[in-house]
Amino acid sequence: MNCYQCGSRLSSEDFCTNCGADVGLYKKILAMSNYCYNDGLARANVRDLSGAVVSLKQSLKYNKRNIEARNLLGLVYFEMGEAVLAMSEWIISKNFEPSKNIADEYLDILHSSPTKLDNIDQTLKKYNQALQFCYQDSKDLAIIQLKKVLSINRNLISGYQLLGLLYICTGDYDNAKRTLFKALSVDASNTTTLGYIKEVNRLIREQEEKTGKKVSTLPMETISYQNGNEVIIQPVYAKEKVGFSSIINIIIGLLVGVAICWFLIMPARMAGITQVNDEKFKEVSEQLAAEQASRQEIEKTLSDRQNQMDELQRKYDDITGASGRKTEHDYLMDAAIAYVNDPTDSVAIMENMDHISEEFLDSTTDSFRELYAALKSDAATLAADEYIENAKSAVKANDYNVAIEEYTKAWLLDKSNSDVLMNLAHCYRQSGDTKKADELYKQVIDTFPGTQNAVDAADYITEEQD
Amino acid sequence: MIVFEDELKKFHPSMEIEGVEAAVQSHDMTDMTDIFMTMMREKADAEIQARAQGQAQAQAQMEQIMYNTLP
Repeated sequence: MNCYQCGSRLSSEDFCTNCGADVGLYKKILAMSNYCYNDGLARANVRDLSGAVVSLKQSLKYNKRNIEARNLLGLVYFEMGEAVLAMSEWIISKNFEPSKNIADEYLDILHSSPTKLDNIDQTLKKYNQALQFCYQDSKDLAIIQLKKVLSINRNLISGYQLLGLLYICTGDYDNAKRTLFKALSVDASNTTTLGYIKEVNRLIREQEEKTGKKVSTLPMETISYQNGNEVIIQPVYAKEKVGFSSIINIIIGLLVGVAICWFLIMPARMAGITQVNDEKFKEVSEQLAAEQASRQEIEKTLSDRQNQMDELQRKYDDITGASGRKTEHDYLMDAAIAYVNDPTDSVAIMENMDHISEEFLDSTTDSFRELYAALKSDAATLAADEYIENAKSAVKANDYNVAIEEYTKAWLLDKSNSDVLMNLAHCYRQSGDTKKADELYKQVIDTFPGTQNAVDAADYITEEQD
Repeated sequence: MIVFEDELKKFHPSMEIEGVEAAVQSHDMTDMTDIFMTMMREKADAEIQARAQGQAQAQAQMEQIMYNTLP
């Protein structure tokens, strides 16, 4: 302790040994400041924060340079959720004692975490907003806002008290008590909080007397005990009755859980699984389609190869005669054999030669064509005469179908004979097919103009038309 | 009996971070030591003034005596 006048260290005397100033009263003032600081410290130790604030403020009223008291006041404010007041005390403290001051550390902690500082500021702004809602009589909004504030700043005593007051005013006594008990767990001897709890208890009793029913599940009085520096207040919540209601609650909980699973979790999981399955299905489908396309291509190639092989086999069989089918060469050989056996058997010769087509003659060898022409020149005239004879016999027997057939063969062998064509027309006429007969008559007129047959044919046509 | 409006008047808006500077500046720093110092200063001034007045009175008395005793 130094002299207020000369700054020298004071002794136990009531005057300054250096300058002679009267320091008796000054010493008493400083002693009172220290006494109040000790009282505040003791209160803070038992979590009587509001009491500690009063004592520490008193201490600072005696001596504003009591650094310990000021720092402790800041700490108590911070514990009560009043971070700004705490900061202001620490800043003043630092101003009085720039070096070796613990306030410096406190401020550094706050400044080193801007997020925390911002959170504190946000909660204070929201608290002020909630207070505005209260002034505007918007209690519901104020309650919501205060709940947000207290979820972040869990030590804001004034927030708990205001929320408790709002609950009391809205008749929600259970929540009011819970909130006020939380406030008590921070500040154990706050008279405002205790007053509200007392009021809540009174209101609950009144309501219970009116209705005759138990209104609150919470105890009327709090039980608190000291655990180190912590004041534990219990029980905040009354023990719930076990029994049928518990079972019902468990069942409801299970049902809610199942419903949440069914309506929220399962669709998402099913959608996920379905999506995965769809992707797999798509992938497998693409692979299957590719496999099918490949298989069809292979089958087609195989089928083509099989057809080619069958064709080649058929040709091979034709060539080797394994198929039993006669080729043009066979027919020509048969015709030649028939000619060698009986040159007059023109019918047999021509029957074999009829099987040789003009197309084949165009594509075959010269020797084949020469043999064919030689056989035909010899046999055609004879065959035509024989066909004509057969036809005449058939006409005599009135078998016009056979006659038509025979005359047709004769006409095909020898197309220079107008009589054959004329007789063929007559046969058609006799058989009743006058239309075909007229066509043949016209052919006679066109093919052999100026002949007697042409004149006769014209008569026959005329007669028919008449 | 709690009256909401009356109780609400006990709650004041909390100071925000922006208000720290203003709070520090407007903080009433006067304490008992300041008052004591002022009192001591006033007391010292009064004593000086009283001493000066006493000296003046003594001077006047001395002059009166000298005047009376001179022939």
